[in-house]
Amino acid sequence: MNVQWWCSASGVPWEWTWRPYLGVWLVVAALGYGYFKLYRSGAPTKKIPAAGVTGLVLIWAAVDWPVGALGAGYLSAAHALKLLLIGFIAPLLLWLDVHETFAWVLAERPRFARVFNAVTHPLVAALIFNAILLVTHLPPNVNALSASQLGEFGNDMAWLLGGLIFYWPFVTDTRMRHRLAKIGYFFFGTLGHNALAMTLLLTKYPIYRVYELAPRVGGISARDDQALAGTLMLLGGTFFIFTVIGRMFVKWYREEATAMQVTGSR
Amino acid sequence: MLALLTLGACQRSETPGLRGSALPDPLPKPDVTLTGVDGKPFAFREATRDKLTLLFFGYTSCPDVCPMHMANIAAVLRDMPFAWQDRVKVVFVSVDPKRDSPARIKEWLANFNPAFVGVTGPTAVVDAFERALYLPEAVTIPAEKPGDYTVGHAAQVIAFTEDGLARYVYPFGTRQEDWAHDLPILLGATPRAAPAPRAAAEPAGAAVAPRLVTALVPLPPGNGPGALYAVFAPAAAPDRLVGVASPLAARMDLHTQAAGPDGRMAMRAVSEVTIAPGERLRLVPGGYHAMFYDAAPLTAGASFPVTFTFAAAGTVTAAAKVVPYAEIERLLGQAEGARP
Repeated sequence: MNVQWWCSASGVPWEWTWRPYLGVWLVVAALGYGYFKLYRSGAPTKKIPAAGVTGLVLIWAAVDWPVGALGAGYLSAAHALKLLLIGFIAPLLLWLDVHETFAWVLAERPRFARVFNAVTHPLVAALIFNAILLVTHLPPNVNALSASQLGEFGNDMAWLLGGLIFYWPFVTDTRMRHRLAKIGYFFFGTLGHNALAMTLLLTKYPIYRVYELAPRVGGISARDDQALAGTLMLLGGTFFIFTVIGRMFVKWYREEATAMQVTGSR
Repeated sequence: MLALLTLGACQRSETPGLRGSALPDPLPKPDVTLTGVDGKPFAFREATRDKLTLLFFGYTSCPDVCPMHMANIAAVLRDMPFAWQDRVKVVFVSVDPKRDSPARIKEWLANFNPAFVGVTGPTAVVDAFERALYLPEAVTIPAEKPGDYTVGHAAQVIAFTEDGLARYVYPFGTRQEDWAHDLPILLGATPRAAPAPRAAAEPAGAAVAPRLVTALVPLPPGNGPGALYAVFAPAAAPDRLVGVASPLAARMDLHTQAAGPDGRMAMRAVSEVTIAPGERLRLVPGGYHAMFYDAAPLTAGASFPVTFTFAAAGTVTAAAKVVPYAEIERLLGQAEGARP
């Protein structure tokens, strides 16, 4: 069996036959190990970090066969799904259960904290996140990165890292205390993502050579595939953004209501 | 399994205003009669008279090159005004008469554009048709599954302008935006850019790159370095091959095999390969060849783009085909025997 390190474009016709990607398992296992080590280093608990586990599972689903392989060399839509999962949804889920513990890690490592705080300044973090998104989606870069396993690995890790940097100011109160500021940050910080989605949706001809000239999968044309990628990014991204913002408003409302009840009862 | 491609690859020269590759000498439309999907005779020259004709030799079981060319042309034609669509004829000639029945060809082409013309015919007639256009004949290659096979065939679309001459070829890798750019020019709807004036000191023909006949990569290269072999048609002018590159390989070098100081044959890197007028550039086992490093995994039957850079004539991009090592000598010999 042909065992590979990471998914990449091969140019061979797609087959619905499972293929092992050793690097994917190792990287996901390493991520999981690191994540649980961090989680357990916090307050003693037997609770399973449901959000974090979901985040890890989503990363695994995004980079392993079939989504990873389809996204690397066959379908722009699978590439978009991968981006949504790795760069958009999973990083937030990962932070939810460990951001408080991670703040302690920062407190114990002042030199690392200085660098981390510099890159997670809201303005810098949003710039880094959008720059990674845009640079990894420039056509020559997509074509070049997807052609090698190392390139595609670097691309996937860059998305994950960009997402983690972007969400840190959002999940902690050390950067932005007011919820409206967070909502504004989240909304404006994802404009690059939406611009990218609109470009995919509205461009007349396929942008990426790697997907246009790949053997077709499931009879979907290159143009429809690209439009589907744009739609997926736009709808999936927007749905996620509004779900998160909606949850914040609900939490905010409940806290205000509780506060009013407490004030009223006095 | 993949379809094999580019037994006869074409050169991608710098044609002012067009993205297709110009043929050094326009070719007349061959006078050949095949059978249409309706069972009636299809006289190619007559049936395509005064039309911009895009001719392609392929087969309906092809998993990559054939559907990609057809889909890309169809997608672009769909956006063109009806009056222009009417002036374009796409002719698909089956190189797999055993499996491609007229009904199957018709059904397959209808997936792209029902107006595309599908034709079939005896292998000898199709082979003669290809030879008339200096294309290699299609070859049948057994697949892993018993009884199954793939067909190696020319991967380029040949464009005959409305004056009946084949002037441009569009290799595998031609994109929708390339077709959208070139078709209006070929139809005369957009003025063609004026050719750049030739430098006074440049000898005639110096800017024409040698035509690539075949580029082959033997399996198994594994994950280590692999070799690339190629045969070009005799060069019209002196030139130097100064580089080979592919997006699927991290690095490619030119090498030669020569006797070292101890008399033993050894491989060493060279910076260029000189080509004399009238001679073929040959990258073959035991001689000059290209090596590639850290390439994506290769599978027999797959192909990948390779760009040859010439000092005077610029670049030639074509698809290199991955073949079993045992086939290399035979296929290179076949390519050298091909008409220039």
